Amino acid sequence: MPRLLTALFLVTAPGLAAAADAPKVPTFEGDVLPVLNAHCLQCHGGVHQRNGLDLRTLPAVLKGGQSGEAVVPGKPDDSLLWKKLAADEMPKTDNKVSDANKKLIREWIAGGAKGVERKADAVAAGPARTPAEVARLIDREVGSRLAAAKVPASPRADDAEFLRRASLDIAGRPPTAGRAAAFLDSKDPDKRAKLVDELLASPDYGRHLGERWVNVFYLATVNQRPHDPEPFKAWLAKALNDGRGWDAVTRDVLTATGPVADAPQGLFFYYNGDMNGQFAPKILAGNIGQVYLGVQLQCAECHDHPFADWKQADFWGVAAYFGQLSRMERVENKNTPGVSERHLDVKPGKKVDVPKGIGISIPNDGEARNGGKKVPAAVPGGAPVAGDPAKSHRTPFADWLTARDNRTFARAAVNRFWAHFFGRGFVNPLNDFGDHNAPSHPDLLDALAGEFAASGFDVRHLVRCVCLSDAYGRTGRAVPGNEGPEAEALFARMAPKVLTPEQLYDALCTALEVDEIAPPADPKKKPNPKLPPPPPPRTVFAAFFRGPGEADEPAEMKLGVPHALRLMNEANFNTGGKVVDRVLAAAKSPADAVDALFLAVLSRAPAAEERAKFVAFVGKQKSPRDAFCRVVWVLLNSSEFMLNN
Amino acid sequence: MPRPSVLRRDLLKLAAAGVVGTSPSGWLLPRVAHAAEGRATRPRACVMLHMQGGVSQHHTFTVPEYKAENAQVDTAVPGVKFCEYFPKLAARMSDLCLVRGMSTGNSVHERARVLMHTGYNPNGTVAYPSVGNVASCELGAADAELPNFVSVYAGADGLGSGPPHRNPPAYLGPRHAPVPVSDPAKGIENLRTAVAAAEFDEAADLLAGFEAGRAGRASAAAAAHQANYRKALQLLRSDKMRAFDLDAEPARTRDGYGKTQFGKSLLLARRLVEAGVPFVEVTLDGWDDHGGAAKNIRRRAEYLDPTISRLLDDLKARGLFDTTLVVFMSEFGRTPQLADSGYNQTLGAGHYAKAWTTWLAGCGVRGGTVVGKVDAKGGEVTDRPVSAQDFLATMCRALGVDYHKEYVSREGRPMTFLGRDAKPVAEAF
Repeated sequence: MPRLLTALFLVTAPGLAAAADAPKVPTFEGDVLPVLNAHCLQCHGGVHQRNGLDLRTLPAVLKGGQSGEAVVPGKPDDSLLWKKLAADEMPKTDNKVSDANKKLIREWIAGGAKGVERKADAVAAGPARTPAEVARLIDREVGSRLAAAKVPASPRADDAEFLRRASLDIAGRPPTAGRAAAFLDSKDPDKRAKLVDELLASPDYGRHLGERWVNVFYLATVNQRPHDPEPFKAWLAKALNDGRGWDAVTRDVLTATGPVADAPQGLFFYYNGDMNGQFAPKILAGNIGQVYLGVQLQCAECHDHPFADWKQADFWGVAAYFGQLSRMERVENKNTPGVSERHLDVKPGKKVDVPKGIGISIPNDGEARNGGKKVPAAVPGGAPVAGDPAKSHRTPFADWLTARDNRTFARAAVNRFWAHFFGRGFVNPLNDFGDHNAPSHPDLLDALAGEFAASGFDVRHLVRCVCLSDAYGRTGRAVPGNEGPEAEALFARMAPKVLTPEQLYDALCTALEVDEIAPPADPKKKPNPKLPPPPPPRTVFAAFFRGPGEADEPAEMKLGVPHALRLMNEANFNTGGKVVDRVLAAAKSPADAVDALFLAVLSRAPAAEERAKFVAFVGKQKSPRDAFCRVVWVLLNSSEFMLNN
Repeated sequence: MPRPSVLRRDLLKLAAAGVVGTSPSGWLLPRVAHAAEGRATRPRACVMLHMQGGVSQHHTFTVPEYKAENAQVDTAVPGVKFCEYFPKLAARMSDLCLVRGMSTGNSVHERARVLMHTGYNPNGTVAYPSVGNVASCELGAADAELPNFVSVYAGADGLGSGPPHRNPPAYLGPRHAPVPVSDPAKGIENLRTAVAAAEFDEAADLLAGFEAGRAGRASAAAAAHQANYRKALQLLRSDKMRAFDLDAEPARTRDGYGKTQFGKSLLLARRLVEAGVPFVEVTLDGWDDHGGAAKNIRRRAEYLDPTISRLLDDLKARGLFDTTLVVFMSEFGRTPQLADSGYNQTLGAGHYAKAWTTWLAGCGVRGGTVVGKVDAKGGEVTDRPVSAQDFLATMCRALGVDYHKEYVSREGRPMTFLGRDAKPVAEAF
């Protein structure tokens, strides 16, 4: 299907092709690096630097190797890189560079060997702007890319589409029938902004965003029996609902200490433990890199990163900050899960050996290079930072990470929040920032990162800015010229997002107007009073709809036949919940009932044709109750219900 | 897609027609020879017996020389001995290819399970499909009424070590996910409609019409959803679903497979293969014998030995053996009795991935073969170590699945099932 769409797109949308024909000076990151990556970096990258030559970054290329300058900007014929490639002397393997790529490299050198220049700076420049101002900025940037690519934007979504989308994105669940009716009936021109405010003020806002973030860590855990994530989710929900800054929240997570009963965010360390559940500095370094810095730092665990500018010392330098942690229940021999840091809770009068600064030894296991070498704690690409042994070793790292002038942190966070709303980030995958993977909208990413920092990392502010933009408010319906997936990357229309299992469960409860959906009990199984009580139905439901170790990816439908069968045939989805009874009591005509059921399940009114078909269907059934149950069944099992459009 | 790849099935057809003389990798020939002899007329299939928890090789098929807790039993192949608990399989050794040098390096349940199914240790960034998903993709017909991959859970006999492996299909897409059967006597869950068939069909038609009316909202995710529902409806209405009904089998046959859930699972597997399902995984949990494997395996062998033997016989009697690969595997083996093995002093009490045993049979696998040797203590492979990737490549070769075929992930990254270094165990053919 995607390939078919691509083919269609190429035929019907000459816009992008025309944009590609426009004369353009090649850049190192956008054009040259992919070629070098495919042909050269095996020997001139992070693993090997034959002849002292490193081709991973523009400064390194300009510096050259033992044979001198590799590139003389503007003069291809004087550049060693060109001469070697042109003569096929390099690469030495059969994997020669194609003529087209050679031409590209020649043009790049002739054009001055330029890199991508970034206009805006992500450092917070001034005070935060109003959400409306930032929304205009978003639309200017998105609009200019669309214009350059000559791809038309889809029109504004209708109220119902916007209502369901914003409710699912911000509060994690669709609106109730009552709320939907009020919104759709309202004539207030400002009702969308007011809806966003209302959703951000509801406790569901923190609950939903908190759950999504905790799941990023929880779903990636390699531990076999991870602790229940609910307390961590509740903690993050409260922090977000209290309006705490994302910097402060992150600092609290990374420096969590003590029993998880008091500091549930300490579960973060359990989800970044090794297979036996022991806190693992190297897993922490890798995941902190991916989530908070948006980079694949873990590729530098065993040797320098093969094609990005990450040194082995960068990876282990980060790991070193987390090298003194242990599970409290192991250290204190009590059944109290928690985070314990050596040298932290020094008992009075007891002498401890306090090291100078902090460091970690690269394990001598034959896998990593430099096994046994001690690496001092250091921020990526930065100088070693001596921690205060009397304080948490993690504090200096957390302070560096969340500082307002750390663009990496703000960019990675903004990219993830953006993807929460649009189904994709400016940089994709979300954890792969770098010169080799340029953002789709670099200036917008930087501007939003700066805005996020200037606002004191106010997540609600960021959500308002995003949700008030035209880009967010567009319909998911394609118009001629923006049908292809490429148009989704330009945010020409809203891409549909698959509901997460938790969203699906909450949406089912909302639609059926019930508090919970318990799986049908097995009459043969008697509850065993000795066993701990079963997890709540929502947890059990989510576990069925998401396999272990499966991360949520909004663009990808991961459900299969067993899930379809369950939604089709389980009694819960066939008996109409409470919504059918309500509609049965209130509806004056079949058309009335169909309208009410559409509103309850899909948060919209049926189109005239749809209404006609459903009314005809209702007329043919034995009883109105059965008919309404079938209507609810049809709507619940539709792709429209399963997706956030 | 970076370069077009010819489907292996198509290659086979071409080869049979004399268009392609040799295969670039050289391993196409033996299968083609089979086809020419008219033996490989049925599509190939696989029954993978996944003994979840870690099977003690010492109490099954590779009893260590120096100190055996158990007597050994001679097999049909001179010089090859099994543990005494498995006399019936021993009598069928001439059909088995025993791989004694499994050396896979991962001894943590869930992770080793991923490794033995996908060929890769989980790394958190890239997801890989399992051999069953790949078989579904390469051997199954896209329009098959029955699922192309069924995963049967035979329960836990002993200490459980988690739910059965889920086999997420990764880049192959949800249509190659397994359909799970948690109880072979019940078949696929939620298959019975909550309302009468006529009523159900009317509502399903309304749903189909509703989806068709939303064509302006086409997306890859919506299309995948609709495909799931089409497939689910097809399944629900298919006459072929009788394959899941064990009661359709004569009482004598049912008795032959016994009353255990494992026996029923094997009977179901045979019925599914017969009905054209290309890949059936049967998971029997409970092998995590930390207290010592001897007693537990003696108990399990009482039904394992006769039922697995029965399956092999049955496949032969029905002419399915030459096209059906039967694999006995686990996520790792169990510890030999080493002086420094700490609390795992009892033979087979701990996890051990350095030297353990699997076997394959049928589908052109050379029977009566023993691949690899271990030292006297059973702690080291002294000859012919076999990695997880090599093991999976061997399965693929038997099944005629090209494990180097290129797929494209959603991010546009080219992917192959197994890595460049994967090599099938040549001795098995």
